[in-house]
Order: sequence, then structure tokens, then C-alpha cells
Amino acid sequence: MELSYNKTELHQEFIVYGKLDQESYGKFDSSVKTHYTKGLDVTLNVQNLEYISSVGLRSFIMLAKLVRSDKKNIYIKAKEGSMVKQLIYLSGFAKLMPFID
Amino acid sequence: MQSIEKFYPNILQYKLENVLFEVKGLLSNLPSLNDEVLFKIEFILEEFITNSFSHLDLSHNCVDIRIKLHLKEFEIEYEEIGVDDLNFAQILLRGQEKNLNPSLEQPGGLGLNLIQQISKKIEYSYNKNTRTRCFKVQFL
Repeated sequence: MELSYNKTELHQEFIVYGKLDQESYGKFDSSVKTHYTKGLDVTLNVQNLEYISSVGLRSFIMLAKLVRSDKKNIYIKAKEGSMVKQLIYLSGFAKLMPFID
Repeated sequence: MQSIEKFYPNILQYKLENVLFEVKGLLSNLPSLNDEVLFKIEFILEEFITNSFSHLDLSHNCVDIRIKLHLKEFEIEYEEIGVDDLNFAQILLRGQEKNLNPSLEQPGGLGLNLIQQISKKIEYSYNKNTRTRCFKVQFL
């Protein structure tokens, strides 16, 4: 798993690559904590994420909690038809973190 | 290779990460399968194995796990030996309720619920004599 981070004045984006699973979720959590900037909406870009397990989905929920506690919004950008998008949808988390194009 | 079978006696002697690493390594040697099928197999096995380790009673239980993957039948059989029965139907029902009303609290039973949703069929049985839980998943 690799994570890159972009920030503008109003917005921040986390781009996740590779696999987010039992082995890598710790790295994701700590990278998010390092980069996260208060007061900005978040886009979680998982278009390049090849695999996610429930532990990875829980990490997304942790990030969503952080964003909500800051009274900001979080959105997800996922590849159409991918298993990653399907799992986020099936878990019900798309209601908390809506998909954007 | 049309099937894989792995047996881990007394999983207390293993680390979750090592078991997952080994099992995922075996998957990388499978004959060419499409990405969606491989994703499902990896997901199902990771969720079952993680569940086994996270629900272990570290002080008392001696739990064995047996994994069987039958590619021809698109079937995974996952056994936990030396454990109590569980209310499988209730776990799935709770998961479905959470899907309808998701919250930011840490969701329990998420893995099993997602296995059910991405699979064609999932069956659960319990053998009282051997104290074995058996999950049979038809993933395609």
C-alpha cells in the first residue's frame, strides 16, 4: 500500500495505491494521521486500490470519524465496476462517504 | 493446481500476519483466474482467518483451522476446530441491519456479512462432537 496526498486551499485528497489489508492498514492509518489537515473537506481516491479487506474499510471509517469531528465532509472516488467500489457500497459506508466522479 | 488444503494446528503458535502471508502466497501461484475471482478468494480467506485469530480466547482455547479451496467447484471450505457454536443467522441479520443504517462506530460482523454479499451461497454447520464450525462458501 502506498498513499499520496494533495492539498489545496479548500480541499485535501488521499490517493491510495495497492492493497489495503491486515498487513498494510497500520501504515495507512499512520500516514493519514501525519498528513490530515483540519478544516478541509476530504476526498479518498481509491481508483488505484487493487484490494481491500474489512480491516481496510474500518480504516476508512476511522478517517470519516476524524473528518466528521471536524465538521467537514468526506467523499470517495472509486473506479466504476471495481470490487473495491462494490465492497464500499455493500458495506453501507457509501451512505457515510458518498461516491463522487 | 485445482485445489489447496492447509491445516494450522493450534493457531496460538502462529502469528496472524504469517498465516495470511502464507495463504496469500499460495493464491499467487494459482492458475490464471480473473481479477474478480482472485479478489473474492483472497477476501473470503482473509476475513475468515482474521476472525479466527481475533475471537480466540487466548488463555484457554486450542483452536485448529483447516482451509480447503476447490477451484473447479468455486468453493471454499473453512473449518475452526475446538470452538463453540455461533448464531450464524443472527450475525448475518445484524450485519444487514448495519448496512441499512451504517454508523461511524466500529462495525462488528462486517467481514462475514460482506462474504455473504459477494458470494453465491454460504452455509454454516456445527459439529458438537468435534466442536467444529464449518463454513462452506460458493464464491461464483
